[in-house]
Amino acid sequence: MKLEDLRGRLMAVDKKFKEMYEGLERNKIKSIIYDKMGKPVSLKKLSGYEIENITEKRGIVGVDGSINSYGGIYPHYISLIQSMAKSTLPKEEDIILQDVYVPLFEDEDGQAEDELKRRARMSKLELQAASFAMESFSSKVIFMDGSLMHYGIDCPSEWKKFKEKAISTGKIIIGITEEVKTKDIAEILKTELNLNDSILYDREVLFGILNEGEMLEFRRDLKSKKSESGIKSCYVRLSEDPQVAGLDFIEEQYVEALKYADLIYTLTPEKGRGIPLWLDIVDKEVKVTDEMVKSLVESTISREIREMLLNPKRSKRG
Amino acid sequence: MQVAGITNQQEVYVVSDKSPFKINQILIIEDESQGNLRGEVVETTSYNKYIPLNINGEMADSKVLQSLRSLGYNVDDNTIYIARVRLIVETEYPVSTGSRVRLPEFHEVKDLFVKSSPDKGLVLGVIKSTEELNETLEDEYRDLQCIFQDGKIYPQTGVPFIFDIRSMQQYPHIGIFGGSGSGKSFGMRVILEELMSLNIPTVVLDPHYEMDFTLSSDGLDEKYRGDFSNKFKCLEIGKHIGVKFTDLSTNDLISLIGAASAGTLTEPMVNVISQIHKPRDTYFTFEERLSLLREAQELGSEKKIQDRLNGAEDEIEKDRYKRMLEIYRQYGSLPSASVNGVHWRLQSLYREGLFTNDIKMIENCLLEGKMAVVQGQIKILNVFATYIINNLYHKRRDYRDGLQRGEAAEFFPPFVLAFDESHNFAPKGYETSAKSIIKEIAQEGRKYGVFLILATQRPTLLDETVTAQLNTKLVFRTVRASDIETIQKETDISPEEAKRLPYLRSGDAFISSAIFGRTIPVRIRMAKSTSNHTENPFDELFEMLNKKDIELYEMIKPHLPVYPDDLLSLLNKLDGNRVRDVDSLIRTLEVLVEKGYIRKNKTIFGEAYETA
Repeated sequence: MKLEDLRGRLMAVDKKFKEMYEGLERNKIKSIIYDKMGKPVSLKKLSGYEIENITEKRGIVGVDGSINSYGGIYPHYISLIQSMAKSTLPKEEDIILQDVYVPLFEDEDGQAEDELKRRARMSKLELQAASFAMESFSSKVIFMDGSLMHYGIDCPSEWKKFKEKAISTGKIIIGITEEVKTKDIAEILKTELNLNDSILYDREVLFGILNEGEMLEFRRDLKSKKSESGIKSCYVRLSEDPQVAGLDFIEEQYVEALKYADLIYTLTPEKGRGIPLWLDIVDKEVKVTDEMVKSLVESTISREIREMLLNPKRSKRG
Repeated sequence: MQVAGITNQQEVYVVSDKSPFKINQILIIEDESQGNLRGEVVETTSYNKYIPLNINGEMADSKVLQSLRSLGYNVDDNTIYIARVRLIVETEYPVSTGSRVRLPEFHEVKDLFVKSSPDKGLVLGVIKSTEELNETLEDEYRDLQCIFQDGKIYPQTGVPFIFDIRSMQQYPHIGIFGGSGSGKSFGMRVILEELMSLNIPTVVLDPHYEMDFTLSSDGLDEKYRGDFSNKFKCLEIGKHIGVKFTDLSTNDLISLIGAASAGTLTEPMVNVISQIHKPRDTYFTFEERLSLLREAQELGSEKKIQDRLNGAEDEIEKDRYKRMLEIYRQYGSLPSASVNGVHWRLQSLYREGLFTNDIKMIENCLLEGKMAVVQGQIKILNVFATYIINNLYHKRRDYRDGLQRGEAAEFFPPFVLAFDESHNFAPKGYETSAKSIIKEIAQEGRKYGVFLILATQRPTLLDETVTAQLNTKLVFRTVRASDIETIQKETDISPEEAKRLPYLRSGDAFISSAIFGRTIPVRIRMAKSTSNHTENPFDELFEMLNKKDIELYEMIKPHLPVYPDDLLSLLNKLDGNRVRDVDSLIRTLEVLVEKGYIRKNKTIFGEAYETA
C-alpha cells in the first residue's frame, strides 16, 4: 500500500501542532499557575497502618459503569449497560446493576438526542449503584471512575438527590478522571499570555507541569465552570506518566475529601497510567465485552428480529 | 472444581478458585453420562487476573497490592488454579465440559496405589500428593512409617507405597537410578531394611563400607524402629570370606592379582600368570612354581641349578632343584622383573587372607534368611563379585534343576543380589568378568528365584540388556541430559515428569513399575537404621581439634596465671610429649588465648596469661 501521501499530510499536522504550542513555555506557565491559581501540594504514600487509620478499616468502594452495543447505527441497535460498586472488604458483596437500552422503543428525536439518552441511562445506573453502596457498604469513601461533572448534565434530578444523600450520610464522593477535558486553567492562561485566538485545553497546559505525587489545589476565589455547578476539583499527577489526572469533589465535602488524596496516590501504581488500581479492577469486572454482548443477544433475541432490525450489512462483509 | 475448556477422550482441564492442584494428584471427574472418571494431574498452573498484571496496560506494583491488602482486599484470592488432567483410562467420547470434579476417597483409588499388604510387601515410602486420602485410608495402611524432610521427622500422611515382592516372579529385578545426593543410597538402604524384615536371603556388595544396620536413626520413635542386628552380617573379604583358589580360572586370577595392587598389571605380568597358572592349581602349588622360578632366575643359568642339584644334601633338596630345573627350562625366558612382580602381588593377596577362606559364611547367611553384606576394597570386590555371584547362582540353579530332574539336591534358597555402581559390573560396550553372569541372571534369574537390585548414577553406561530387564525402576534426581534420555527410553515416565527429574528433592523418586503399569511419585520413607559414615569429615576434624585444645587447657589450668618468668618452670611440669620447648609452650598459650580459653593481661611483671 502506498502511504506516502498520508505520511506527508501527517508531517504537516505535526508541524502545525508544534507552531501552535511554541508560545507555551513551561516555566512561564508554571509561574502564572502558581501565582494566579494555586500552589502545588506534595502527596505522600501511606503505610498500611495509615491506610487502616484513614479508612477506619472500612475499606474503600469503587464505582464504574460500562456500555456496549449490538447492531448497526442509530436506531438499529441494542445497548447493554452495566454498573458496579465494589468494596475492598471481601464480606461486602459486589453490587451489579444492569439495563438494556433500545432506541427503537424511544421517541424518535434524532441521533444526538439518542446519544444523550443513552449516556443518561448509564449515569443513572452508576449513581444507583453508588447509592446502594452508600447504604450497604461500610466504607466512608466512594471513588467514581470519571468526572462528577457529567452526572449533573446527564441526569440532573438523580444527581441532586444523590448529592444530598451523600452529604447527609457523610459518605465522601470523589470522581477520578484520567482524561482531563476541562479548559478552565487554559482560559485564564490565554488571557495572561495574550493567546486569545488559539484553542487550549487544560490537559496540554498541565502536561509535565506537576511532579509525580503533586496536587494542584485552586484558590478558593477561582471561578470555573465546575465551581458553578457545585463541584470542586483539583489536578494531580499520580504516576510517572506526565499527564495529569483530575479529582472532583462535592463542594460541601471538599475539605474533608482532600484527606483522601494521599490514599488515592498510594493506590496508584507508579508505572501505570495514573489512576488508582482499585478503579482499574472495578473497570475490568464491570466491562461489558463484545463477546458478552454477542453471545447474550444472539442467544435471546430471535433470529428474524436480529436479521431484520439489528444486523448491520457491513458485518456481512467478508 | 470443574472441567473447563475443550476436552477430549484422554485429557481435560480442571479449574478451581479455592485451592491449588498438586502434580500427580488423582481426581474424580463426575461426568453425567459416563459416570465417575479418574484422572491424574500432569501439569498445574495458576493464574491471577491482577498479578503480575496487565489490566488495560496497567502494571500493579507490589506496594499498591500491599495497600489493597490494608484495605481488606487480598488480590491472591483472585487466583485461579488450572490443572491438566490425564485420564487413567481413555473414555469413549470426550468428557463433558462443566463436569464437577472432586477429590477421591481411598476406596475409589485403592487399586491404583496399593497392590500388596504391608506385611507381605516392602513399605518403601509415601505416594506423593495423596495427603487428602489420609482421612479415608484403611487402618491396615495407616502409620506404617516416618518421613524425613527438611531436617524434621513427620508421621505418614497419605498412601504408603508398598512394593509387592511376590510379583517379582513375574516382573523381576529393580533398578535404582539417581545422581549423588539424590537419595539413591537411602533408597537402597530402605529396600534392604524391608528385605531383612521379611527375612529374604540377600547378598549386598558394599565397597563403601556403608551398609551397616546396627545403629538406629536418631530421633525415630521406638514404634518405627526395627532391630536388624540379627538379620545381617558384615563379611569382609580376606577376614571372613575368601576365594577357593582351585575354583579360579586363569582369567579370574589375572583380574584378581590385577585388582590387588596399585596400577594395572603389565602385559608381561599377565603373560607370566597365564603361562604359569595351571587348572586345578592350589595356592601352594602355584606359589611354589613362582618362587622356584624366581630363585632359578636369581641363580641365572641351567648350569648353576645343575650344580646345586649335584651338591644337594638330601632327597628333599634334590627333588626341589630338579623341579626348579624343569621350571627354568620351561619358563626361564619370562622376564624376571615381571615374575617378581607377580610373586609379591600374589603373596600380598595371600597375606590379606583372600585365599585362606571361602564363601561358606555367605551361604550360611542365605540359608538362615539373612543378609550378607560383602565388604572389601572396590577393586578386589569387583573381581570377587564375579566369583560369588557365579557360585551362588549356580548353587541355586543346580538345586532347582536337580528338583526338576527328580534328583535329591541340597536345598539352596532363592535370594536377592544388590549392589551399587552397577555400571562398573555390567557396563555397556565392553566385557567385564562380572557382566556375563549378571546378564544371565537378568534374563534367567526369575526362573530360579534370583533377583537383582542394581543401583547406578549412570544408567546410560549400564548394559542395555540388563537395563531392559529391570522391571521396576526407582528414579531419583538426575541432572545429566543423556541419563534423563535413557530413563525416558527405559521407563514409562512422561515427558512432563522427565522435565522434573533435575529438580527432584533428595529422597523423592518416581517409581516406574510394570507391576503398577504407570509411574508413581514417592517420597522414600526415613531409614530405620543409619550408616556410621554419615558424619561430616569436617565436623570430625573440628571436634578433634577442639578436643586437643581442651586437653591442653586442662593441663595448663592448674598453673594459671603464668608470667613470663614462669615459662621455664611450667615447661618442666608439663608432659614433654605435648609441649617440647618454651617456643611451643608460648604457641600453645597463644592458641588458647585465640580460642578464648585464657586471656592475656599486661601486669607490672610483663604480659601474663590468666584464666579468662
